[in-house]
Amino acid sequence: MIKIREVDLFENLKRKFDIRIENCPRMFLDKGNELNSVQKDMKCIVKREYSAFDEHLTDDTELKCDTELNHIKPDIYLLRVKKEDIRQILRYLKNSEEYFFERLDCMVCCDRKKDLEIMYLLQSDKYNVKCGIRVEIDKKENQIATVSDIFSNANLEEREIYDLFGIKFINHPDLKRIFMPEDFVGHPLRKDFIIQRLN
Amino acid sequence: MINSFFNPVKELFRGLYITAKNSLKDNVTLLYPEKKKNMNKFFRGKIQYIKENCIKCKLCQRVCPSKNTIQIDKYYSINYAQCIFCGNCVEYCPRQALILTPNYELASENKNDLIFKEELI
Amino acid sequence: MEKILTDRMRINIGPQHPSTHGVMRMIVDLDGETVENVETVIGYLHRGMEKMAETSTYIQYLPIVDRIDYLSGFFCSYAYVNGIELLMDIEISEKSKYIRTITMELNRMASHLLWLGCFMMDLGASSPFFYTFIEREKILDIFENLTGNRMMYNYYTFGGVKRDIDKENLYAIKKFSDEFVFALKDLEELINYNPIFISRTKNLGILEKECAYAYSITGVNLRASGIKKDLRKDKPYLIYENIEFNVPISENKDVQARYILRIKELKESNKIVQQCIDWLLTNLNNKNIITDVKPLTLKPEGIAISEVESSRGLMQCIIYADGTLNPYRIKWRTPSFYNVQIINEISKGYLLSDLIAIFGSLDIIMPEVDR
Repeated sequence: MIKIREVDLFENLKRKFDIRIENCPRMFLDKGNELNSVQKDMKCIVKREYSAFDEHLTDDTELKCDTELNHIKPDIYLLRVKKEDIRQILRYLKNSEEYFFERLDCMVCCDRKKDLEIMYLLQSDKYNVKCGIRVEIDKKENQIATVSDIFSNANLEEREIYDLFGIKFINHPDLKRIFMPEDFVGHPLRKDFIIQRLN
Repeated sequence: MINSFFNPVKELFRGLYITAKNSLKDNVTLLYPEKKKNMNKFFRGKIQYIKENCIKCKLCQRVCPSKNTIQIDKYYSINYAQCIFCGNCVEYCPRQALILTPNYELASENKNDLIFKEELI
Repeated sequence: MEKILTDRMRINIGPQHPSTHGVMRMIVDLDGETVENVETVIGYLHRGMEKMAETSTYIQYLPIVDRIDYLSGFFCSYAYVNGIELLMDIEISEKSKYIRTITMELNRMASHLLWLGCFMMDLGASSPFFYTFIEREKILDIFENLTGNRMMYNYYTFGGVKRDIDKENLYAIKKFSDEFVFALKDLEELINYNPIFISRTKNLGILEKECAYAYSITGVNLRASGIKKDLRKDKPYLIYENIEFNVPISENKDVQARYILRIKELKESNKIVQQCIDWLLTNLNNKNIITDVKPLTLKPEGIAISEVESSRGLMQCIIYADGTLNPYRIKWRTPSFYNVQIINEISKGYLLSDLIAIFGSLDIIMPEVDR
């Protein structure tokens, strides 16, 4: 097991893509810093990068940290990324020498009532680090790109998420229902699908 | 060449020796239904209701995993066709109005035999 | 002599079959008698465990968790209870940690014994099936005296265990564990040197390292390919830091290596059980098995990920809790769901009867796949 640098694990990734760090484990912070000061630094860095590309920002854009369900035990990294960058980020995290996340443990999908959300759990055995990457998906146009050619075990996972939640995956080799019968109408694990008792 | 002939024969006799040794041990099966096994006091069989201790607090209905098994309105009724015999209601009752019995032979031909009802005043 | 031209044939190994462990359907493309392509169809045992959690409270869901994998009920129960204890910051006492470890290791031994009996039955030998089930009956009798039932235990709760271990149970476990060494030696002599067994399982179903990482395989299937990964040694959870045991690995990647590793794991579990008994016999007057927590009005908040090394691989339970009496979403990551996907990769080019031996050595249980 190789020891990693203790501060700013995702510094290189921040420079290339637009990500937002929601939870930083306490052991990776400097002594004396609290979580709020790390978030303030994040705001400054991202604002500087945006203004370099000439985009207009006001103060109440979505740079404030989302406080819905960020409290996670045990203490691991949680990132939130955009839906269009997910394939490049996962390929970069798998192949680069400093991160080397070689295994996708599982994909968790959750129905918050305004949108859907998928969390990818990655695990690195070389550095003994775990990380969770969250993506938001709108309910009207529910599509996202597949990752089954980067990690091979995402094949059956994406079929299960299509069956139970209704999210379509673009360029998946074989997208059909897996648990429910073929002529079933509806998606069971959504919050507006209510089970009635036959008594 | 001779080794490849004698090796399977040697292994055949080794296997036969072990099965012959095991066939001379005692029996492990029990001739049911003439002889039955004794259960100890924690065995989760049929659940029995004692009316004198009950204070109608409805805690047993709140902790049951299959939600329509215990119903309390004019009658106190337990539906043994839906019960999974987990023991939660016995554990959470504050006055010990439900006890466990070692009776596990509950098969019947009529579904109405399996519903237990008693009047509450 | 001219070569006979054959055509491909598609046959169906149906959902009811004596050698698919559970209900699973395989559609096999055959060329003569060699296997070209295998497609698996699952979903015959879907019971809706994850949807049931959204309408139950935390106490109502606890007896249902044992039924996710009925052969290792203590592991699934521990994964759920540990997740809630992480969210509410509950500490458990040392005696309950030892009781949890000894029941989990006995459960691992019972699960491996059933696998051994069914695997030899698939290959055609019917005597080892009865010998392993004699040993398994003794373990299930111990559990019946301790918890009240042979398979669905309902024994762990938030903050500890429900009932104490007394002297008679400990002496019964000690007697079983002393006699188990000789019974295992008999089984090894019966099976290991048989020339039919060796020629049916050697150099078959080879799993490479890159394939194992790409499909996220854990457990004995990964250790038989030469990679040393065990959650009990990497991130030790209950009291595994104070106990001496080894983790066996093997460099051959075939079916015979997986068989030998599971026999070695049975011996290591026996060693762990004996060390735990010694500690428990010296601390008999310690009655501190449960910490005070109010289970009927639990309202945790946050996300919890708790993992355990089960008898088939790594099992995780991910809980989303939002501060009300019902959980918001519970997801189970079970190891058999990922073992199903590699049947197609490792069985190309072998005969049809080899496919049954390879499928039996992966140790797949259908209620874990379908939930």
